[in-house]
Amino acid sequence: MILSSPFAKKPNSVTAVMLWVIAASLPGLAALIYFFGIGVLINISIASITALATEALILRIRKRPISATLMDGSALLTAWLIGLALPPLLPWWMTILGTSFAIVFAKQVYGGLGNNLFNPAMVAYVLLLISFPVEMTAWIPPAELAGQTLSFADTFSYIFTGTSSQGYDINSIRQGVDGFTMATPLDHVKTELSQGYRTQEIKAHEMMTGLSGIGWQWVNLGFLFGGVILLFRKVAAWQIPAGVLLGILGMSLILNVLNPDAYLSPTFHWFAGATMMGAFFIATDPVTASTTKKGRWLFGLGIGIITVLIRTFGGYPDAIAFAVLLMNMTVPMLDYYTQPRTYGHAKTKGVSNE
Amino acid sequence: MERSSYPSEIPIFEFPGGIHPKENKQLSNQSPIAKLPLAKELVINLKGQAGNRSIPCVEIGEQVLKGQLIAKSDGIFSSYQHAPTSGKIIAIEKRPIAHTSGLEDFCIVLSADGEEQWVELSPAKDFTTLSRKQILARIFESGIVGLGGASFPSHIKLQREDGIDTLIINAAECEPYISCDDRLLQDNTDEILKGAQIISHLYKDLKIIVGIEDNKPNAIEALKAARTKLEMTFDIAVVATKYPSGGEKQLIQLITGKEVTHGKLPADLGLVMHNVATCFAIYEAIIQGKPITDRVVTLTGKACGKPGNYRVPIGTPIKHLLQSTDTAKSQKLIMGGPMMGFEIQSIDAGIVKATNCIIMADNNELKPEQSSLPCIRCGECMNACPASLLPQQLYWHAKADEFDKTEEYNLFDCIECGACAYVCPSDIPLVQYYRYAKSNIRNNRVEKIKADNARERHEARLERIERVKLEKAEKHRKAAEARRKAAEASGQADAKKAAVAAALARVQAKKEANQKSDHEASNSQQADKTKEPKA
Amino acid sequence: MDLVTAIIVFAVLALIFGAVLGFAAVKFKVEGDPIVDQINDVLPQTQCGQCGYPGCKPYAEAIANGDEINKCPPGGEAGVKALADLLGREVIPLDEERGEEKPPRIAYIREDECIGCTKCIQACPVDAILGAPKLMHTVIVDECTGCDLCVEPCPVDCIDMLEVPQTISTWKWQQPELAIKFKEVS
Repeated sequence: MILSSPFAKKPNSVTAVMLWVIAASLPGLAALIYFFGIGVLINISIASITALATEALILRIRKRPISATLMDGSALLTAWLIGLALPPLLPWWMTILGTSFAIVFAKQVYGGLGNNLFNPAMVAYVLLLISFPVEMTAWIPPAELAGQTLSFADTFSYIFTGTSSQGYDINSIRQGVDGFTMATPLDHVKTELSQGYRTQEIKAHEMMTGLSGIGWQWVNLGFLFGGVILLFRKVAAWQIPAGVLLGILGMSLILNVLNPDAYLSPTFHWFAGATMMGAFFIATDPVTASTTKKGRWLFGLGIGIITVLIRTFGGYPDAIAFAVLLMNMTVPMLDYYTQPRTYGHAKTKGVSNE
Repeated sequence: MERSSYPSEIPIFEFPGGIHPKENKQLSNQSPIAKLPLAKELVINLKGQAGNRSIPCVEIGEQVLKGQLIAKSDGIFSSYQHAPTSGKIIAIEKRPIAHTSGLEDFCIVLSADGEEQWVELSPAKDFTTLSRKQILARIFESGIVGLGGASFPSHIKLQREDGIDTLIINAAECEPYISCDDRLLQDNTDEILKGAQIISHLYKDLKIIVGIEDNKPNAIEALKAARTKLEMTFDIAVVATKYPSGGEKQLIQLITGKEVTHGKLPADLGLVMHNVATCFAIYEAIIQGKPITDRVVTLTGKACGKPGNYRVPIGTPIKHLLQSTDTAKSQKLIMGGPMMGFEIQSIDAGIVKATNCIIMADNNELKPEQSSLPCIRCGECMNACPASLLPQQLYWHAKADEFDKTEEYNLFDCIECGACAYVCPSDIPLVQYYRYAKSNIRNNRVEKIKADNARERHEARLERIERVKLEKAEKHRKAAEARRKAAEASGQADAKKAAVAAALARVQAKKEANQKSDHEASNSQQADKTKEPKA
Repeated sequence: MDLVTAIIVFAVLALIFGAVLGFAAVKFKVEGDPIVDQINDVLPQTQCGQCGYPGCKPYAEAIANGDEINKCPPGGEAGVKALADLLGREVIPLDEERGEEKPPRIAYIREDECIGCTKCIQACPVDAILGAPKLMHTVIVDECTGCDLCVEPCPVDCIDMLEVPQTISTWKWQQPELAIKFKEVS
């Protein structure tokens, strides 16, 4: 077999890309652990083992090399992102169900790494969200607001048995100091708005302090920090997070200016829920994002706009997962119509074709 | 690596993409250009240039002098070749050549006598007295081709006269490892600049720009010094070191900010570009009257015993270069640079005019041969592509054999620089996919022409068979008619006469059929009566 | 009553559409049968008859009339794929009864043994053999399609089918092996 040039040694590898993404998510993960306990780590562990085992099983069935493929780190990264996205006390079998579904049906069925149309982590998330809406929205309050502290043993017990070590169910841990069940800030806003409150009144609640509520602002800042590292390392395409944040800013600003009483401010949207994680870690998955520069801008903008629209008018509190999956669908078209102008050619191609 | 602090004398533009591979030039650029002992046997590849094979004009057993013409241009798209040393022609046959495929092709094999006796040369001390036509003829007859690596016959490139206002000397030498142009610029600065003057003179007077990467501070200093000495005016365009700034289109973009329109030539922008080594060869051809018999080759790599730049006679077998540089063991031999060169399949092959570098690599110097991972569409290749292509999409379609799609994504604007494959985190041999697609598309075009030709020939044949059949039927019909007439006639005359008439009619019918005449039966009737064959 | 209306409506519609179609058939009548030419363009023009038809064009006509697209060994898998694309049919494997896909070959006459019978000349579908009765024949290499048809008629068996040797100008880059080699998992 005659091999073509180039022969020069290469500087980077897929595994390095995947590991960089994992490493850059650590600040966000630290914030999650700090505010919501060790559950997220257990989730990540369950998801990782599930992902690697499922991937190995499918590769065996498909008669592909196992260890070389597992070493690329993509399954691990998918699991990692699923673990980060799930509520900290989600029953263990749901994590397994979602992760294995993502690996089998969102990734391997399409032909494995590089061939999937939809972001596997978000497929898992959405599958679980629409199958188990109660459990999937059962976020616990940040440690500062919680009525009782959550021990490691309790966390473990909740995840694997559904009750604490003393036998309390999950709702007991979800109560705040005032004894009311706490929701996430986004959830809270949605409920209160539907009851006719104005945004100013809603924001007066103690859990809504800061940029986007206690805990959540730091989680988002953590992911923002890690994400910026990714951009500097050129591991992720900067156009995508820029597009997402700009899309959110634009859409929420329009709504906010029209009616500040009914619509949240851009700042809140930026730092609430899964925004930063979505913008820097989910949407930037290169396999399922657009691959041209202009396409990436449009892809990001689309996610931003759809996120705000669903958060505002849809039935679910957060919308990053839906927005990403919806924009995944448009990728082939985006790629086709946003081809760059080739050297020596007059104008961009694609538009005139077919 | 050392960078020149000398600022560019003209504003420099940008080209998209590009990469910064490890340069490895200091391995070979530390000492002046040297000579190696002469090889016993030189293998001169007749297809040693872009275009068609040269046609040998010597006989086996013939004694030749150094610089003597041994193969002529085919008159269309080819070049002259000259004996690299004096000696005897011992064979004209298929030998392994320096080509990616490792296939054999026709070569002239010259056994050196060691005398290095030159053929009689006709130097022209003052080139300004020569006409354009004379200079072009001499460039043609000296076998000059682009020595930067493409080996495109220079006389063709210099043919077009009108509209040209600028000469760009390509001294960028952007590929890692290679330093032959860098060294030539330091050791033969005056000659190169005089060569540039000759080219400028061809067009009356051209603006001259030397494009050079900032990793050649010594060469830049040498250029400045020689400029003062020769009282020349030209601009030194110092460009940042970035591969592939030395690509013709990229250097034009860096220096002028313009792009060569797809399907057009640099000449359409008023530009003509030549490599420093080509300028040097033109100088030698015109001023000294010497045709190309050797060239400067960078012999380098970590396995090379005596790395450096050497003037190597054309046709010197690679085996000889390995021996004379004390290179015992090399894991991989690359001809050209590590980005665009190719692996040498046979060390018996001789070097050609395009051979600017041979890398004798040791074990872990170059990329290991490893299987690649799937494309993750990260777009690194797109960011590295100097032609603003979408390498990831080209790869996708080339892999699926969707060649029409690859053409839609402008496959043929790919300059095969290898930047995409270099940055690919999945180690996908992207350039190979593009070459695979390109060679298939070219082959399909040739096959389509062949198939059309075969169809035409088949249809013509069917038509001819049909025609012959009709003619035969007509002939039989006429013969039968004649027989009938004859029989009628015999009813009136005696039998003997009838027999004669019938025979004559048959002859007549045959003749008429042969002449494809459409005469009526009445003619034969008439012939029957007059008994005169009709002309 | 509704039934009657429906029948009337549909009858009228049928009449209108029939008229439109009839008009279109006359107005936009296509001369000849371009699909046959398009199919013929895809066929390799070897004229070898392995498909069972006396040449590529008759096979093209047969395909247009519904014959299978896998009867052309010289066209190979790529040819079947091209035909499938053109006609919107399924890609099917080559019909092995018709022969197998071989690398391109050309006929070569061992000229010493040729007796000048002209039988091969008559058999050649593209007039690629040169010669005259009682005189030696030879193949025009550039015109030979490698159809094999001249081999059988030769009474002295002096025709060989030789593989076209690879040269620098016909050499092609190979597709790199698929990224992850599909090894059987042991």
